Amino acid sequence: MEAQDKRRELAAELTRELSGDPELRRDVSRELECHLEDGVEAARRRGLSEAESEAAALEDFGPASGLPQMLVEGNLNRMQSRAKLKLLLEWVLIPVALLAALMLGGRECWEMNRLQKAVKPWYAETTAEMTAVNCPEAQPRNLEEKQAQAITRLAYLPNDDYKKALAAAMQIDPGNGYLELEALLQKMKRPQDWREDEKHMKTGQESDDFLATMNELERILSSPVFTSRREVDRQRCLMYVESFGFSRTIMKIQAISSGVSYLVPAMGSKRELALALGRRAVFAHQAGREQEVDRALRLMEKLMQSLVLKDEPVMVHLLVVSAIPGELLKEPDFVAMLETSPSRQALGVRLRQICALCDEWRVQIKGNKGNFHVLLSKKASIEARMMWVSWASDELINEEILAPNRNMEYRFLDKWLVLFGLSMLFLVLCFLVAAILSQRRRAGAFLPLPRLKDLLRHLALTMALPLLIFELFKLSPWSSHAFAMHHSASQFIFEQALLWCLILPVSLVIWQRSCTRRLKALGVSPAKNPGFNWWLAVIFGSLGILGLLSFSYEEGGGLWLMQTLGIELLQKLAPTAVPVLGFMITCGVLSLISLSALLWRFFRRDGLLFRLCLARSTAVLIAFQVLSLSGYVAVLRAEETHYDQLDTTFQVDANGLSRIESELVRSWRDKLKVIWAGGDSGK
Amino acid sequence: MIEKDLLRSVASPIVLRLVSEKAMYGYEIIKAVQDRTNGEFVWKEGTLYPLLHRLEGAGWIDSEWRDSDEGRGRKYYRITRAGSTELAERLHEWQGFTASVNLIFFAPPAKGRG
Repeated sequence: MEAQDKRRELAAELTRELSGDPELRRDVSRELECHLEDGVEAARRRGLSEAESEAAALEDFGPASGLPQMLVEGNLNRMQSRAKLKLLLEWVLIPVALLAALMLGGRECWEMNRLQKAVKPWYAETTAEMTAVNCPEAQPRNLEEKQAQAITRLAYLPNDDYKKALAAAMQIDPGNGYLELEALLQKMKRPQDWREDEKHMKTGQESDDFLATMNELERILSSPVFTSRREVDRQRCLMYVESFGFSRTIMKIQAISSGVSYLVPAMGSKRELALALGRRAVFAHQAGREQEVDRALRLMEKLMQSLVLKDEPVMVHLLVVSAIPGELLKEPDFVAMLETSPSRQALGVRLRQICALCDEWRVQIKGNKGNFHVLLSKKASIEARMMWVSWASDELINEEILAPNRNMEYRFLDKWLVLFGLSMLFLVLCFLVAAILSQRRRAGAFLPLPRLKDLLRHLALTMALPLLIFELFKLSPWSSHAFAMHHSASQFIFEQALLWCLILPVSLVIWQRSCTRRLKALGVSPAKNPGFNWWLAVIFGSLGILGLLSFSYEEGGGLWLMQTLGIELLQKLAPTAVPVLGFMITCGVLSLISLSALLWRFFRRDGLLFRLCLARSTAVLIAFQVLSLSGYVAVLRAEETHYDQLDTTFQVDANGLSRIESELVRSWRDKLKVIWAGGDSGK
Repeated sequence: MIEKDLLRSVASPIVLRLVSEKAMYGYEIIKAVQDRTNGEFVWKEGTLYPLLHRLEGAGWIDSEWRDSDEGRGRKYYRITRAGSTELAERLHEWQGFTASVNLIFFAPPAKGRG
């Protein structure tokens, strides 16, 4: 037997009473062994032979009898405190961490999934309507149908039967001129047919239907009640969304986007009707029917007034109605017809005043393309863009006003990224717990307990420090959070990738090294690292990419967050979507390869002891990380709420309008009132 | 030969004192005690290690495995803040104790009244 084995055997024998705590026994045994080695070394230096040195070291060591018991007495405190710590870590810390991750992640995911499923149909409609309003030249072919759906929602009924829905709405609110107008428009030919009528009018043909329409319209416009019931619908939207109380940010964005669906009312048919009335007046004038001319013009103006003065207007009402005179005044026949009598001349003056109002607004918006435009494109938020901020002037909006809203949305995104990391850690922790439980009963296995101060130092360096730096960086003007999401999406992704690469993989690598050092100190030699298996990493990585892609494109998974929050963002990113997606995939691949490499190394080390040791220590580390990240989620949630409270600009008022839209509507409506106050037909 | 009980009573402060100077491993402590007492105190492992572990359990010393210059791992002990406080108290106590005992042992005998 080798001398070293003899020493090891003696040390093991002396520590036999400590077998209740295998790691402690190993530690003490190794210490005694080292002591004997020092004794042998010292004897050797005195010039003794190998055998004599061994004998001298044993003699110096003193009598072995009674030492095992003395070691037990000396280590009693340590054994007790270690047993308590073990109990605390295994039965309290790890379950608490698992529970925290489950409760936080599970709850948020479940709620988000519910919300996603519930509001998804609203988005498609909202997007189509917003596109239609923002880019009239790019109107979808089925715009009228989309607009009809807005009324369907107003009537609390499903989308598939517009007529039924409208009938139900009219039953609920009989005598409402607005609903009757909708019913009339539904009964009438569609706007594209009116365009045909215009051709017929120009060729001298006449549509009798239109005369009947004018009679009905006259009756409807004199109705005392004329409201789109927008307020009722707004309440319904808010109540609907408020039931999901888990996130103020998503609630606000959902409420506003849902609100946009009805705040962008179906104006196409009404606009076409007003234009058709104006053109009908021209046709009647050319046919010499002057009475009909005045009637058509009066109805046209009354329709415009009803939509913006009798109803509760939103910006779209005002813009659409105000654009009607501009279109008619482009037609020379119409302008000539307006000069044929004093009352028509007065109408012409009013229409030109409305045109001037539109021009003034256009100049203002054009002026916004300077610093204001830069401010909006760089510093706004998703919500701000939904709230017609770009139609405002720099008197109504500035960077200070935009900041809380932007910060709130970023905190929401940050929180979800943390939750994503948390769910990854949760899976790893489950795996490690399973490994620990499966090896508990194996004789001779020991699972070193991590030392608390090592753990805390590790967490401070690999988690608290990066997060602190990240939090401080967020306050700097260079952070992605200082810019709008659509503006700094790539930077945001890069910052997050950097943060999580620092926190998770680096943390695990450092911890693994720490475990290796501990094993080495205890005299346990892990088997030689067999090296990195690239093939396995490629397989893992490919599976990961496939998973990532399927998550990205399947409904309700993966990048749903982008789908949910990023309607505006994705539109902006469209030209650069490929590089961004490529970057994300590259990040994903690199992370997956790193993770695969770690897992591979973890499994391939041959010593069972080593694996078990890593299992316990790493489980405790990850449990601490899970708890720390849970705390960070709470911080982010608190920050989100804080910024939400600061963000009063975009809160919707009783009329369903943000402060900015409300200001715009009020001033525009006042100007229209002044214009119409001078005209007969407005009275 | 020094009485065992007396030795035992000063063992803890001696270890605390030594590891307060620098981090030391077990074998080094034994040699240091022997050298500093000119061979008067010869501690065996059975005395030292249970004591070191007890002190560590009490939180007065802390240990760390480190590689020595020869490349072998050794467990080094160093004093903690609680250990320093304890050492100060024990030294103060020892000074008072020895002063009192010296007063009895080495002071001239009191003269009788008669």
